[in-house]
Amino acid sequence: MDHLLPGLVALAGALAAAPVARADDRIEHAVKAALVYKVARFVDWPEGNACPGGVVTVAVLDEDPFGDAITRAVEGRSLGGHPVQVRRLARVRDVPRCSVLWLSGGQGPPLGSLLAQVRGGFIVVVGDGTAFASQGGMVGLRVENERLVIEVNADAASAAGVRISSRLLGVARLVKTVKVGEGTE
Amino acid sequence: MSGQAARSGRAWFGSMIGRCARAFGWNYRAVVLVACFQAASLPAVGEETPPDLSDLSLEDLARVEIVQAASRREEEQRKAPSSVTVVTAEQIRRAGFHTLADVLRSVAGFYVTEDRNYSYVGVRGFGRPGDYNTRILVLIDGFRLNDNVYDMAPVGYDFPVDVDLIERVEVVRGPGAAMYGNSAFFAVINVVTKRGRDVGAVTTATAGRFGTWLGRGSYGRRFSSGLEVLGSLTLGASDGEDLFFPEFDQPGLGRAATHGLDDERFHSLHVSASLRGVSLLASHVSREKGIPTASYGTLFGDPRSATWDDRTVAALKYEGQVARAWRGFARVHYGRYSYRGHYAFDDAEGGLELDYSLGEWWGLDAGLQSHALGRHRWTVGGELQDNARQDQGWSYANEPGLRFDSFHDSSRWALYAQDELRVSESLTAHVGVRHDRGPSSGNRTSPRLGLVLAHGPSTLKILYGTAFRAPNEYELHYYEASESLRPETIQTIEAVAERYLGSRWRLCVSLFDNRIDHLISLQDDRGDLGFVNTGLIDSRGIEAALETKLRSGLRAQITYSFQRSTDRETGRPLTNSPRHLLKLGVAAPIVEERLAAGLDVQYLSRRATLAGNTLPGFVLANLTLRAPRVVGNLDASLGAYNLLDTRYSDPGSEEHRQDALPQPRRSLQLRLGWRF
Repeated sequence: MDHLLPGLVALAGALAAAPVARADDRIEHAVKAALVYKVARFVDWPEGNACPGGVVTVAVLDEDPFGDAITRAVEGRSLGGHPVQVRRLARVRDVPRCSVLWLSGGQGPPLGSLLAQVRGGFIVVVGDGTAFASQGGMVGLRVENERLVIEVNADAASAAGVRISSRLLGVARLVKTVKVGEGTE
Repeated sequence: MSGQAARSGRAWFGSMIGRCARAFGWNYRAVVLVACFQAASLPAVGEETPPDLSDLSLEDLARVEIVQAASRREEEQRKAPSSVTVVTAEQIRRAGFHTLADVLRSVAGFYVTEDRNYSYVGVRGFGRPGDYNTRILVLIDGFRLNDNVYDMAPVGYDFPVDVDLIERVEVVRGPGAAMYGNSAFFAVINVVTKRGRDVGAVTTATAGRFGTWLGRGSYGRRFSSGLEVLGSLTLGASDGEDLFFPEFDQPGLGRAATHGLDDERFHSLHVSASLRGVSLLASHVSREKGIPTASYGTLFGDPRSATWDDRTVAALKYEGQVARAWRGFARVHYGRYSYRGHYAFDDAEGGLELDYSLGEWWGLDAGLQSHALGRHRWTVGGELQDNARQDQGWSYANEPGLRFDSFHDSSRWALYAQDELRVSESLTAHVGVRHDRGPSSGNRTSPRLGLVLAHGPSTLKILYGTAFRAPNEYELHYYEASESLRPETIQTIEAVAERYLGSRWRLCVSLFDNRIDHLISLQDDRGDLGFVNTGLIDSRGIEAALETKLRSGLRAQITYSFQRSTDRETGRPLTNSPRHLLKLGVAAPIVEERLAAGLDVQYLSRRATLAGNTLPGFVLANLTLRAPRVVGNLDASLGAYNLLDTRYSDPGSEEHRQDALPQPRRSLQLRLGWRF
């Protein structure tokens, strides 16, 4: 019994310390999730009935650690006048028209084939690999010197029929696609 | 009006996050950010809910400091019951390191000796000439790489994984036998390899002085199914330097010089795959190296003298949750090491000598970790290694049969248990013990104790550890004069103090005391070479490291180590044991995103040689300039190695007539890499 009290104190300490150990990830996830929403706000979404059900979807692939953070970031918000829904999907080809597709940690098929799948569907592809945008992703969020840098690949966006406002382009760093990657598949 | 207030409120919040992050200590930062979040989300929903960042502007969001996962490792490292240094892929890239030896050279207290055949690692003043890296244990993703004939840890181009495929190198100083058993004598070096997605599709080409070229092609990716794969091939060759060895000068024949004998050729192949807790890794390297030094009394200038080393390792591992609060892993691994050496003697002395050895082994290890018992975190595990082949032999090329052969097989096993006990919120006690049983080690029980006090920005560690190194097959059987050898042992007491100074500086000081007993050394008894257990060595020292990461992107690290090692029997300091090591590493962006520089400067103080001479201290500097994405996805880098063109030498070993061996002069290397 003598050990019980210090044991409990230690346990309480351990429990108190536990969220701290994960704090860094939570912040990174929260900031990236908020940026996913922010980026989507600077996209000219089609008006009226062009979006299925009049809804903009934020699509997250299954088992994505960012999923909850994204739900929290967009819950109850709207994009281009459309309500937003978050959907967890198994495959990229299930992503509906008018979507923001979030790909973290190099998930999903290689970008070349992915972009072919989303072309013309008004799908904004946002991801966080180190070279996400330069490999053909539309918007990349990469950490550099402990800050998040937004990279926009305007060519990839326009190829998919997505128009990004100059306000976002002003904040972001512009990168170009290197086409070679599409040949590797 | 209210909109204005709301907007300025948001701006205030955004800048507050930045300010909080800047104002507090590095390790406090994550905590403080959470506290900031909690304070800001006034309608307190619950501790786990961060505030609504979606209300912040793009600019404010981009200003939030992100502390990445690396710092979580830093936190673990801070609380580990050892003095740990981690060298990351980023650091390897910035400094332009080519081999694991280069990586280790940059670590406080480590130095590398080269004899133009292999690279040998010295740790804390202990770098015996002729020691084949038997006193460090090198792991690849956690499993043993040291072979079963020489117990050698390869660190040059004979290391099977290209440095570009290394995610990080974890250097754990001090005896690690309580966890890893044999060979974990001075340090355990765990090389963690990159995942497929971290590598991508890349090809690189390098060309440099001394006819050096190197090429690599890698392909890695993660599929949507979760399957992750990586495959990589590296090829390299070098003509090497032309060297002068005055020891071989003959009157009337001018200076004794070698041309093209320092050549090297290698290729390595690495594949890995993982899917849901199951991972597979296989690496192979094949290396040929010419011997320009006429070691072992071979003919000077004879191009036939060379060594061939082939190493293959493979491991299949499962790791996962086995029950609530219980994690486990099980692994099977395989290793093969083959060595061939050609030594050219005069025909009167037998002609060309062919030396060979072949080691092959299978291993099984498994472990369980539990935090089910409140303040305890238990780890228990076991290991079994079957040495299917431990063969050695030599012969002369011009006669049939072997002059010497030794064919063995053996097996060894071990059980270990570790407990990490949280005594209080800031104090953790580590207790560990491992029992090993093997033919040359006998029964060995290795304990370890550690106390880690982490309080605010400061950490204090008091550590006690032991280790043993069993005599290897080579030491036991190669020379007739060495038969009954017992394991050598080490006891270490170490104190480590670490403190974060502000948010961007870290200071770490460590004091150590090593006592090495029954040291196994090669002795020359009137021409008969043989290994014997000798002496007692005492070594004491201090290591200090100061690191900074500045906002400008500049990273700098300066380390100093001082040690004094004495052979208690002779009362003399050890050979190849520099008292002072001073190292400076700086990486800085020059033109943002366009050009970055990495500077690496090392000072090694004087060293005693086998013949009782003293080699002077020297300063070695390397400079690397990197230009990412020069054109498209083309990365270019230019490295100047031995920038100051310092003439320096490393001590020779028993097998060299030279007491000192000259080391590489200045060389430039250009490297181009294309990312697909």
